[in-house]
Amino acid sequence: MAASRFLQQASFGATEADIAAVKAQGTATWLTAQMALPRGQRSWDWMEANGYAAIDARALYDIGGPTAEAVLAKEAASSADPVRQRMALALSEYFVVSMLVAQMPWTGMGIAHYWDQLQDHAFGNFRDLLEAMTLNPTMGAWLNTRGNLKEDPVIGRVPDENYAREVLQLFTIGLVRLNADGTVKRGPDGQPLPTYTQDDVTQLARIFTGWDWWGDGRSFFVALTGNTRPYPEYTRRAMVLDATKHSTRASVVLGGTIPAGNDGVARLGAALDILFQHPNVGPFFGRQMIQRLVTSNPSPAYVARVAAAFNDNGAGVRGDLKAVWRAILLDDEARGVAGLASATHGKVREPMLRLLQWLRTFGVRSRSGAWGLWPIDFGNPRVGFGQRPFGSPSVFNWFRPGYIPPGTAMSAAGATAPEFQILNESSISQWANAIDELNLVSTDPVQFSYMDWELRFDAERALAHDARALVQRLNLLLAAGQVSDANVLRIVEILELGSTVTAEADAATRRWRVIAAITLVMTCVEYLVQK
Amino acid sequence: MHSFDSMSLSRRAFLRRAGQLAAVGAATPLGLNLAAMGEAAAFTATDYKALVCVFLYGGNDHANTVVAYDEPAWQRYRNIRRAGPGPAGLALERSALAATRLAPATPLAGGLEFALHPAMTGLAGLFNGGQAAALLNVGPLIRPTTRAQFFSPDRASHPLPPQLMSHNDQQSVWQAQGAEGSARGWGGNIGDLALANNGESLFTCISASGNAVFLSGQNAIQYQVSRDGPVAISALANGPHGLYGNPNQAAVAQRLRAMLTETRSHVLEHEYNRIAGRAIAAEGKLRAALDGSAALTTPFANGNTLAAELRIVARIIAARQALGAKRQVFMVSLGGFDLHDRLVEEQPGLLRKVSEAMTAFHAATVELGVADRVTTFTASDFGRALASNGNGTDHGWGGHHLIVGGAVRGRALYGVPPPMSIGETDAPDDQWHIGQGRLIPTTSVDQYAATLARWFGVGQAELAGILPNLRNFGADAGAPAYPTNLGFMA
Repeated sequence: MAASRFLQQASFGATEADIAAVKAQGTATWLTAQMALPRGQRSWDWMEANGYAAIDARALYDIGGPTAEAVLAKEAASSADPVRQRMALALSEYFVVSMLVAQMPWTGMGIAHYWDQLQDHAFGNFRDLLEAMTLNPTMGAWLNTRGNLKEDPVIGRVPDENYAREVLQLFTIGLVRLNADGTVKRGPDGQPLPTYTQDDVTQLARIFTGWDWWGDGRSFFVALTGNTRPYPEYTRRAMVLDATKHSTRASVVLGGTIPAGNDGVARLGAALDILFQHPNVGPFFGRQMIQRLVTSNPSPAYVARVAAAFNDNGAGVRGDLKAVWRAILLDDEARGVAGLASATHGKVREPMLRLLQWLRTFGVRSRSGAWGLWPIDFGNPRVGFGQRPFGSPSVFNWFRPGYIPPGTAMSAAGATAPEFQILNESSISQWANAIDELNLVSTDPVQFSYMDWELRFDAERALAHDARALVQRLNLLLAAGQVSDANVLRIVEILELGSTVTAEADAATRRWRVIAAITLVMTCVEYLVQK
Repeated sequence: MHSFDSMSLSRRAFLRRAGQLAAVGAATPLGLNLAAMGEAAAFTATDYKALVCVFLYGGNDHANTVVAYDEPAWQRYRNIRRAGPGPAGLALERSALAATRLAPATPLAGGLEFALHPAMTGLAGLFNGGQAAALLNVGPLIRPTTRAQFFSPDRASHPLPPQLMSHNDQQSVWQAQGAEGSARGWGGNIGDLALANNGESLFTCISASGNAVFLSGQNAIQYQVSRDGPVAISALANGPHGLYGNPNQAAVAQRLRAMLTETRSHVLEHEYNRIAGRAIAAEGKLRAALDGSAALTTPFANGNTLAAELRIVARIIAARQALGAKRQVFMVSLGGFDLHDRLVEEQPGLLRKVSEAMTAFHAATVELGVADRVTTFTASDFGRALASNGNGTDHGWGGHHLIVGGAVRGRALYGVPPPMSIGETDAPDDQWHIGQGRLIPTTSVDQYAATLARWFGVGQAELAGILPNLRNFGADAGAPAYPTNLGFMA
């Protein structure tokens, strides 16, 4: 159970093979080995090989956003280096980019490259990741660095401030000064001390002028609309600088000066260095990653330990993300048994993570190999549970790290619980309906053969006649044994009330019991809150 | 969160009592109600009223929504916004505004005129028909604030709302007078007063657009519906897939329901199950009330999520008698307004949706015979800078908003028309922005809210508990230019 618990924080979920490997190697060794694995096939390349960069009647150049979900499903279900993808997914809720980005041809390919870059840098350095995100073409479209023009006093044009503001507020230092343990620094009047002013934003905005998408001048013609479109290559090229459109004015940002000049690349580097060196970054970033991976309301001491690892990996390097993940995942607050007995430790599993866990735990496959579109209609109010992967409504993610659900025990205690921002009467019911329907994609009998996803539940069906053994297996794999005996018994009772499955039962009968059992475990609150 | 600094003891005590009564719910004995406590007489009325907040997420560009139309102001606007992809840069062409020109019953002083965005024909029609009003340059303030005070280092004397120009925080400040993490919004505070008047207190504060602190009070809870109404958990009716048609359906449902709603000692588990419990308990009641009420015939536009949200609000209002509802506060929203880029391309479609949805909703209230019982108003993170960044505008502060309903003193503009200026001089016209034309509000959200709350039935003495900064405004506070009742409601 300890190995399963660890895998659910460090990976998308626990399979029997993963559990065996963790038990054999120990958590630290297994984690180190995972972080040493080379990158597998790049997501962009896989997308291209599977037809998502094709110019055809599907018009993916114009409506391709959701296609990136395919590669996420494929990797969650079957990748050999799931820790890399799990950390990348946590980063995707910090450096948020969304398929809702407007007017970006080949959005799906753009998201795939963004996802690749998160994976490229997941075990690298924060500073490199920050620069990669800043010049990512999809980020450029999302936060308007792309096409941002220098000031023009003659016609009254000023630089676009969007990226300058959000890189400060969301990607590096946040709004208020923090102590090393993530608590807020306050002035003599008791008010939080701000990290920056509007003037910092205005001056930093100059640095992000002059950038645009890479292009080689080639494009293709879309007869249907009479427009031309670029080929998808640009979606994996860093944005490029046109010095004639770059503001050459000096910028004073957070007290540091970036001298005047037209070397926009050097000026960008200098600005990002100022942000990266700010003492807020470690606790600001560290606390949010703890929230994504382990617990909604970490202790200040836990944040301080993670921030210290960010500030110095032990070899004098700042921003080493491997050190950050180790500090988060191997910390006693994540691993210790105290968290299992606590009434406050843990987090609500994000709906998106439940889905990815389901894919990995049960070894879902794609009939076509291309992982067609997900069999969830996110637009359907009965099942669309409000967290479409790569579909955050804004750069503020689906929920905020500082969210405190009003009218709750958390509110009374001032405790953050970010995932509660998307929990309500609708979304809770939608999840229950969604998982109930998802299980139907299992084969045998083939009810939904038009769907691309399939799964067999072989190991689970073998246990179907023994409801208790079946539920205990699901409890171990899905919930790290955190569903109590009382609820295991309750689920067993429901299953046995609902149907009779003998040792001689046929495959179809067994399958029905298995999918009922999975729905029941995955709607039980002891599963839904990950400790 | 220094803006939420004046929670009075009397208010807490009052709300505690209100909460105790609300907990009793529909079983409240006759006479044992808020009116008997002498604190909310207005809510004993047997009539029905609803407030509907239309939140425009992202920060709507107000200057292209309620647009300067008189020639001199329009020329200044056109000059400031001349950098942009449209024929007039970011500015709207004056000729395009003629059809949506606002014709107030009493013209504004100095020959000032405004028009709505050309895409907002429906709302312009409601305005000129007397069913809608505009409120100019409204935004969060702790107290009246000038440009000199804004730039003063003396924050103790000149407090400002927290985290100006930050999306998430300004959404929270508009809704709850405090930065992100605030626990109670003014919609919820108003709802607290109404809980005991409604047959089913859960149906007091209803969102059709996701969680928002606006609708959370001390006791009032935001209840969430989808655009199709409450969402049923299908496994409760039939058992989960795999147990369909099972011989013990009732027993299965009873045990599943017990698991989904049981009390837990872990706080996250407990709160999750509380929501599930509310969802399950409310779904049947609301579904039955909706199914038992007359169908709406007013058409709402397809492909418009705001219209879909307002349609379910209208359907719930249609079911008000079945629900025993006397006072309700609703929230709906539309996103996508953070147009640093593509303002000219994207804003028209968004504003068309706003106009079509709000116009249809008003028509629905007419159909239901409650047009003068329902007031709809817009809100947004902030207004935007007047200056152009080439193809969009950046974050601002004050902005213009619209109020619709049969009880609105329509065909009028309220508030103070801001000078059309981005200048940084000592000239009078340059004193109402903090750079690039980011407006210092001349009307506070608290004044806006107080005016709506008074119409809704909140007593004058109760306002201070709902809107703690209101005491800094109005003649009594030495600020007659900032009246606590803006007069736009009958």
